[in-house]
Amino acid sequence: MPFCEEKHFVRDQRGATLPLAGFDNWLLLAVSGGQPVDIAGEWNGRLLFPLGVAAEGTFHALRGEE
Amino acid sequence: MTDSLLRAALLGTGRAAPPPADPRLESLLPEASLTAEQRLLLLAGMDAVRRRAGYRPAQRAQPPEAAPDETRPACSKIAGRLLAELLAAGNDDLLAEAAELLEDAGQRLRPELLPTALAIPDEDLRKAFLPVLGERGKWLSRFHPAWSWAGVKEATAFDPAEAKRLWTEGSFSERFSLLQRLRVQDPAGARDLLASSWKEEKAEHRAELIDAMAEGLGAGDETFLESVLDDRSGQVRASAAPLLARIEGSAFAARMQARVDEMLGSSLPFEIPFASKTAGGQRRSSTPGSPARVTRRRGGMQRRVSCRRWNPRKQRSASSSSSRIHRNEWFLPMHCPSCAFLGARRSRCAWPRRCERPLPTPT
Repeated sequence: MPFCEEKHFVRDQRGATLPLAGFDNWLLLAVSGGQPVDIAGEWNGRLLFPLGVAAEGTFHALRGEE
Repeated sequence: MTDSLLRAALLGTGRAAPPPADPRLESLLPEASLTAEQRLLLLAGMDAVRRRAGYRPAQRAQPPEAAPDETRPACSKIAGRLLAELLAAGNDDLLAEAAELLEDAGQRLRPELLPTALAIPDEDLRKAFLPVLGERGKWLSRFHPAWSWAGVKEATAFDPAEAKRLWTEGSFSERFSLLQRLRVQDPAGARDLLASSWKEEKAEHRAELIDAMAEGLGAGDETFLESVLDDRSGQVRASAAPLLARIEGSAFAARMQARVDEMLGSSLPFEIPFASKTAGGQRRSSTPGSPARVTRRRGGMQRRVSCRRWNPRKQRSASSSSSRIHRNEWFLPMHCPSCAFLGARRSRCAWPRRCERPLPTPT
């Protein structure tokens, strides 16, 4: 589930978090509503670039990088 | 490990002694004799892989607070796409109308539109979008300082003396917003405040101030609104009529109902009862007038009747009443005219479904 505390993060069900990069983090947060969602993204070893999210039965493409 | 590797690489393997490697990494090196350069590069490579593979994410025990459940349905995907286009194009007039239609339909924005909608800079447009942001929009606005306009505002109690001062001395827009806010907390008090200075208000202000009464509307407002129906200004009367129609069991609603019943009771084409009471309650003997005028009047009356009344009257279901109206081309509505006119948030009437079909254009 995505969340935002000054920076954007995602957290898995066990509490592990990854910092997010990418340009659609607000969109990701908006469609998730703080609920668990399925996210696909690229991990570069330091930051996760989310590329797509499936929430409430809809898939949304996200811009990982511009 | 990285530091000593880096230093050795910068200085050159000839000058700095190759660093002693972790025995576990050392054991992974190929057994064949290696030059100092090969050994250093292999160790650096192994270190990079080790770091990447061994990344330990930070822990956060508390799950983030989720958005509360929505109270109204999201708009359709097609409507969402249209809205996304409008938001991207930034046409304020169309956006304001779209927000209004969403509100009338009792729907909210789809969540993917929220970041764009929350970034709207225009004050009036924000006001139009506020009710359709949904719970998700309010929740989301907490995370971004520029979006705080959509957040839940603490209701502050009014100091009566301060309210009175603002009411008598404030500018019109200050007085209007005071009335609106006061209506939320104390509808009767706000009404008394408006009634106290009613006679001194200008006609155009009277009409607008009446609109502020829509908030917290209740049976207690009927007497005041009925008196407003005798106002000199037609604009003021027109503002008060829909409010009265929304009050359950008001005398005004009953009068309109009786008139519509009379019309629906007659055979096609409908006949308007010509000597009927006007909105103000005076009797008016009117002449038929042009067909367009008659149609307008029918429409006007029709809309003043709660949609719930469309249910069976003389075995005529809501759908057959509305199809008769379709045939007569009274309206070309996007949704139930009663619900739209009365500002009903969510209607259970049969109208919206019937109107999804394209209606015949009047000839």
